[in-house]
Amino acid sequence: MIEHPLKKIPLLNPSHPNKSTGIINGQTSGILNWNDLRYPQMYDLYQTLLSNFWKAHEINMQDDVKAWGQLSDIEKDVFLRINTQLAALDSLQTPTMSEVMNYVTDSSFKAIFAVISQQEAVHNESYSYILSSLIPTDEQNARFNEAKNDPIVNKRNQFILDYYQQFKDDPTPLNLFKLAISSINLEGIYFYSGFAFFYHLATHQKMLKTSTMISYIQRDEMQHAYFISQFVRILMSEQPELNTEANIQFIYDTIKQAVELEKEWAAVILKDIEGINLEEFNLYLEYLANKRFRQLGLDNGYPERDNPMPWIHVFSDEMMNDTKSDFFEQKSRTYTKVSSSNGFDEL
Amino acid sequence: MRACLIYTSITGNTKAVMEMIYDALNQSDITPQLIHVRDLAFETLPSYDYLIVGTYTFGNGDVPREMMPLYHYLSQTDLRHVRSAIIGTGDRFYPYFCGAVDRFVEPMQQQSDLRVTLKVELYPEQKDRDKLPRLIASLTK
Repeated sequence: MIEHPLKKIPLLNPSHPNKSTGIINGQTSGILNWNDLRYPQMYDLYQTLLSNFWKAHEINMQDDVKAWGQLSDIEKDVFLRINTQLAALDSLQTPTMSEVMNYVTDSSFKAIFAVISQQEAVHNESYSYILSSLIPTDEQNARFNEAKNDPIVNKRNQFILDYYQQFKDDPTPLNLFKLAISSINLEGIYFYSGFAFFYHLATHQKMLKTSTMISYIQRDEMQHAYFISQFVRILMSEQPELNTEANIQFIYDTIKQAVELEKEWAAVILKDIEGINLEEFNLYLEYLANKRFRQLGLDNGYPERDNPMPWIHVFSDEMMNDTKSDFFEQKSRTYTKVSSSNGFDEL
Repeated sequence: MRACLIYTSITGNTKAVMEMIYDALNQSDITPQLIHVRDLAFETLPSYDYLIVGTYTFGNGDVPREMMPLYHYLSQTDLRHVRSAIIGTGDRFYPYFCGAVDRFVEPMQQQSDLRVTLKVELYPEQKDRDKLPRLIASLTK
């Protein structure tokens, strides 16, 4: 079964129930009633995704246009390379999520894949918007072409692309599982060198409008990685044939491979950025991967460790509203310490 | 002495933490009961010696929908004779890590004897298990 291609189902099957019998190979009418779901928690997830809605043009880039001149040549180059590299990653996500949408047989999952696909399109636009605010058109185009021909970027993208293409060519449940794990690698591991760089600039009060957009993107990507990890867990419990030692090993192997490729990319792209310690960033990636393993219901794949770079996180409302204050300061938050200043103990 | 452990969970993270606490209490002289919030009979709460609330966090640091009836009940009911704890799971990449725990602090500090809070990142790790003796000590001291 898990190696037989999935069929695209007809749009409407009036004799089948609205509440689907499975996320793949299920029976479903095709009519979505959010109050009659096999997995009701998907409605909350859908709501959260929608409440994240934003668009690039809401963010005025004027401050960043001024700040751009204060960046060093190295910072400018890294900024542009990371920007187009992230754009390349997000370009893959919009069509891939739509591809998956064609084969899932639960209407609520179809709707969520549609929203994710839309959000990836917004991300894509935001990278173009950032570039168009900062550099002339011919340089923008050159930068996008550069991303296409960068051998390190290609090597890491290829690792994802192969699994995406495999599903496109042969849409079996097994290939869908591999696509989903690769999507977690893309959204949950590959973005973080970029996030580190932009938040690092923000901690020095530089390019805050860009990092505001990056923060919106991170918030979206976190929901996507969470959804896909839930999708994988449901897929494996509905299709016990997928729940094999070999596939668990596949998860460990591919996430660890993604971490290695991210370390390799970070070693190139972040090596001249003062203030980001690469050894620390490598540990950060392992902490990050551990979170992905646990989200998938597995044990940590790396030794347990604390977050060595707690400043890489989504901005709070206070940070968004008051970008001049010290909210961005690069300091460890004190959450690991026990405090009882409020009259109770905080562990 | 009896403890009521009330929780909600989607991914199983909060449930796992609450089960850890349940097992730890079972090793002590406290008799714990683990109850999903949808199965809770609110009127039984004043009869317990300990109340432990476990919740995940949703959206922008929000209390999950199914926990709101409990939140309102705790805001309005005098449980100052009950020693309490708030337990949460969440993700540190969000600005309001385990925000639902912080939301429960105000009503539970005013209306019960709030002793301790515990925040856990996703599925519990060894460092979280290591905190259990301190959690119980804070509740019972």
